[in-house]
Amino acid sequence: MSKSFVVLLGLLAFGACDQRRSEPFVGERIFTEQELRGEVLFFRHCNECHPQGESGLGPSLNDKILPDFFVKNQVRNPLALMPEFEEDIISDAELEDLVEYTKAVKRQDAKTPAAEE
Amino acid sequence: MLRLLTLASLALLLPSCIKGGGQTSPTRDGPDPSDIALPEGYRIELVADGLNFPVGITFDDTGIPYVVESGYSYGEVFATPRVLRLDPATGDRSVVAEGAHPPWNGITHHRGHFYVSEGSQDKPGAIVEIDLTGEMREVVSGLPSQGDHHTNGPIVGPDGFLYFGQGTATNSGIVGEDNLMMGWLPRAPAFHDIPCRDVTLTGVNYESDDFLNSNNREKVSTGPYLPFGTAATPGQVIAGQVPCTGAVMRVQLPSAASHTAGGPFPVELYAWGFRNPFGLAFAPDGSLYVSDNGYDERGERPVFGSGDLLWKVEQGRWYGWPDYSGGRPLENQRFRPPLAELPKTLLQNPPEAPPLAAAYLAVHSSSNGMDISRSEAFGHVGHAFIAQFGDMSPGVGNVVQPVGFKVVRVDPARGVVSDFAVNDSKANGPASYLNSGGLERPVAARFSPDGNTLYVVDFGVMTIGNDGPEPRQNTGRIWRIIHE
Repeated sequence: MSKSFVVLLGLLAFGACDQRRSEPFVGERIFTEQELRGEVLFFRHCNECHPQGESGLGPSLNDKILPDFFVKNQVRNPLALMPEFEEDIISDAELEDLVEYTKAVKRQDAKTPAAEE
Repeated sequence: MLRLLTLASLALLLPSCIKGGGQTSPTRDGPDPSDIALPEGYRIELVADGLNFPVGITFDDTGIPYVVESGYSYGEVFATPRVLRLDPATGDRSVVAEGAHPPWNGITHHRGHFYVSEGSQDKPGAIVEIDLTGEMREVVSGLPSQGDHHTNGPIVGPDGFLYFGQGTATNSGIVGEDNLMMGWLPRAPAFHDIPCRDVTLTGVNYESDDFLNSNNREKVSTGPYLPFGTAATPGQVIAGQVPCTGAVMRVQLPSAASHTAGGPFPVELYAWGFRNPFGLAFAPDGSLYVSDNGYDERGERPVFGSGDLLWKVEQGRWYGWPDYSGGRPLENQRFRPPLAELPKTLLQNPPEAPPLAAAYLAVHSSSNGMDISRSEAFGHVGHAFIAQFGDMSPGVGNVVQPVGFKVVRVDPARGVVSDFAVNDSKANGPASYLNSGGLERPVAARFSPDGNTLYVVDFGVMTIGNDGPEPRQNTGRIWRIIHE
């Protein structure tokens, strides 16, 4: 627990400068079916505090390279002020979709539309 | 313990990052459309500069734009509310009408008349009808708009009704110190929220100092839907009435033939349980959508992490205020402020289970005026374009980085939000924060009558000082966005 806590704080402290990945900056974004499912989940559960993956009430997500297990653990057993999302809110399958979506957003570089990759 | 440890660690590690967009010295450059990023194929240009607290825009039957200046800003700055005719080519303006009871919060045009929502700090709110000569009359009167949030809208629906929003008096139901800070509590000490239908209270009260009587050293208790210092009792029924707070209401406008007769006209409730239903727009399929400002982390019953919402509104429904946010009960750890207790449930039996929102928008983004695309030429037909005024941190709660200060596009069918017009910078924020010539505080977005141009009303500079909002007069702008 304490190790994860330190890692999280480190990520929060050193990753708090946004890297913008919305349409005006990266062009039209193309996603797989799974990523599209994850996109809907992201905007249902995450967007309020991490607007479009940028920092807001919470820290930015789209400029951090986080291992899948860390993201999933943070959703299920959050540290800091993030709310807990149990399986009746986000199922395991949905959590997979959500993680794939956040990874897909991070793959899109500024001024490089995903369709051209 | 872990919560406290986390807070202490964050406070040490992130002090320079916890900053809202208003926490700056205004040093923005002159307007520069190239400082604003848009999706490929769209172009933005400046229409007018130097407006005084502009908050809404509408168009007459020939497509000429008219802007409403509020005459009031948070920070207790008062001016004259006005309707201005705008030359779309030069930005030149002429005064159509001036009012005496600010704020004027929104405007629409219908059959040769303007309809302006008059929030008013010195009398009950109204919807004022103004003809092209500047003649005025109230078509709706007696609105409870002297509190935190005013009368919003209006728009005319496809059914010919005039729809408008009425914000709540308070953040989350309890009159308290935050309302003193807002400025209205000393002016209207008996003012409070009004339910649209009968509600039964749990008897929860919140204690505070007696802000209205400095000689009283005793604490006072205040319950929901009650004046400051009046406690609720378990099972107490508060009678509903219309007009009420936190609601979308409507009025049937007179026919063209009998236009000059009568008024004010009787108000009907359309839906309730909103907090501040600021933006109203009808989709091409006739559905009504409303943008709603979420709870703040302020006052005697602060709420943490409650985002702004886009609702698809059904007639007669209740949308959750003061006990839910986006269909989720507030008495849940996710809404507990870091340094305060969990919000307690105020209503014994909620009127109904509130629905989920069509979209969940950023906490403290102040998602305000909006419109829905109906033009294939502009694109994204059926999508909402929402002006985000931007955070007012730290008064409403802290943020890690500035939130809002842009126009977003929302696909209401999927709840997906996309930046549409946003300052072109490494991090988000208003132009004055970024030292750029871009967007400051967009407050309204409205399509031209042909649907091919999106006009954006930019309220201007409002920084947040130690004593609250510090608006700068005559810094408002009008922008327009075209699909090339």
